[in-house]
Amino acid sequence: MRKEALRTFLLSALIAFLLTFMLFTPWEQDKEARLFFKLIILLLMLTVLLSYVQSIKQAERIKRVELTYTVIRCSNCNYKLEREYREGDFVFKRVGICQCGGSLYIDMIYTIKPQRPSKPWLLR
Amino acid sequence: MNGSVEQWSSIYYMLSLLAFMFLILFNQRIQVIMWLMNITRVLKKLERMVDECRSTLINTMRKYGCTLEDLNYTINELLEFYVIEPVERDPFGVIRRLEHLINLQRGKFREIVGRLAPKADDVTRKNIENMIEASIAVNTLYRIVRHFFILGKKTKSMLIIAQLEMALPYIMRFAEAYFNAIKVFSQGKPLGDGIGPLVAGKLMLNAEKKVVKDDTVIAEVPFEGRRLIVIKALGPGGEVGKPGKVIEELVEENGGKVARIIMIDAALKLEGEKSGDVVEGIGAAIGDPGPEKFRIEEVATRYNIPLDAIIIKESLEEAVGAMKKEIAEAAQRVVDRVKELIRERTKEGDIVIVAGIGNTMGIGQ
Ligand SMILES: [Zn+2]
Repeated sequence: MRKEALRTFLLSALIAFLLTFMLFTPWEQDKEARLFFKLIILLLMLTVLLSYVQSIKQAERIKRVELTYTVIRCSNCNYKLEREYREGDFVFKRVGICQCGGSLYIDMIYTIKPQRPSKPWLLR
Repeated sequence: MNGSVEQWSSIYYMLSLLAFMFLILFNQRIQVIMWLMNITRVLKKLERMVDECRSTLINTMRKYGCTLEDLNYTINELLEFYVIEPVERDPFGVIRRLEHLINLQRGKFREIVGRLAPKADDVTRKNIENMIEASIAVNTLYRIVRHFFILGKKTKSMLIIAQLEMALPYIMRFAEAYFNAIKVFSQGKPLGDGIGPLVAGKLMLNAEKKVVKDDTVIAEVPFEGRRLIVIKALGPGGEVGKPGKVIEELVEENGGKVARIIMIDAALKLEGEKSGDVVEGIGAAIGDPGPEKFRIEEVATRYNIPLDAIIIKESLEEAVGAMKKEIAEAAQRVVDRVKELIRERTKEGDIVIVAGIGNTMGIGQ
C-alpha cells in the first residue's frame, strides 16, 4: 500500500514538473517535440490512473472479511438468539436450558460477506 | 530551427516504420509472450496457494501434537497422493473395485492423520482429512498448470500455450474455491454442501439417534402415521458417511417394504440461477464417485421403490465454502417440502426413507 502511494506521488510530481517545463519553454515552432512531450505526459497520467485503480482494488480485497453468526432457538417456545460464531459451535449442539424449560439448541450457523465498500467517484 | 523540425519528423517517420514492421513480423511471438507472462503470473499465484496450504497443514499438525522432524517432507509426499482408477475396459464389478479403492483411500488418510495429529479429537481429525483433500486438489491444479506451461515453453507450441491461457480463468475458479475451503475446514464451520445433513438433522431433532457403522446416523421418526427413517452422516466432523450402504441395508431389513426413498442434496447450479432454490426431481441425488449411488439405484430398482430427489442449487464456491445465509434459510423450506411430499405420495403405515446427503461438517444431530 505504502509503496504504491509513493509511486503515485512520484509519478504525479514528474508530470507536474514536465508540465511546468513545457509551459515555460519558448518553443512554439518545434511542434514535433511538443507532440512528443505531450505523449509522454499522457502516458504517465495513464500509469498514475492505473496504479490508483490497482490500489483501490487491493484495498477492497482486504476489507471484505467474512462474518459468521450462530442462531440459537428453543425447542419449546419461540425464543431466538443471534450471536457471533464461537469456536466449538455446531448445528444442533445443545447449549442450555431456556427460561420456559425447553432445551436450547443451535439452529443455524451461516456466513455473510459484507457488501463491497462504495467505490470512489472515479470508478463508479 | 527549421532543420531541427525536419530532423525530428524524419526520425519519427523511421521509428514508426520500424515499429510497424516489427509488429507485422513478430505479432504471433508478441502474443505468445503476453500469454506466457499471464500464465507465469497465475502460476506464481497458484504456487503461493500451495505454499499456504502446506503451512496451514503443518501448523495444524503441530498444534495437535505432531513431533515429526521432517514434517515438511511428509506433507509434500501427501500432497502428491493419488488413486489409480480401476480398469473400465472390463466393466464387470467395476463399482465394487472402485468402492474398495475409496475405502482404502479413506483408511489411508485416517491412518496418516492419526499419525501426524495424534492429539486431535475425532471431529478435528475428520476436518483435517478434509483439509488434506482440498490441499491435494489445489496442488494437483498447480502441477497441471506448471506441466503445460513448461511443455508449451519447451516445444514452443502456440496451441498448448493458447489453450492453457484460455482455460486459466476456469482453473483458477476451482483452485480458489478449494483454497478458500481449507480455511473453513480448519474452523469446522458448516459448508454449503451441508444442506442435506442440515435438513435431515432438523427432521430427526427430537428423535432417538442410532449410530450405525461407517459414520452414519439413523433415526426413526413417527410422522402422521408413517414411519420415517432419517439418515445423515455422523457430525459435526467433516464426514459424508455411507448413505448408499445404509439405505441398502435398511431396505433389506424391512424386506423391501419401503414406500419411498427421498434424497436431499446440494447440486451445482448453472450460472444465472439463484442460489438456495429448491428443485424436485427423480433419481439418486448424491454426488459420490459411484458406489453409493449405484447401491441406492440398485436396491430401489430391485424392490421397485420410487426415488425422489430434492436438490438445493449452489455454486461450487458456495458448496465448498462456509454456508451462506440464503442456503441456511432454505433448510426450513426443504423440511416443509419433504413433509408435504410425504403427505401427498404415501399413506399411513408406510415406511419412508429420507436421506440428507452431503458433508456434515459443523452440523451435529
Ligand atoms: Zn423456551
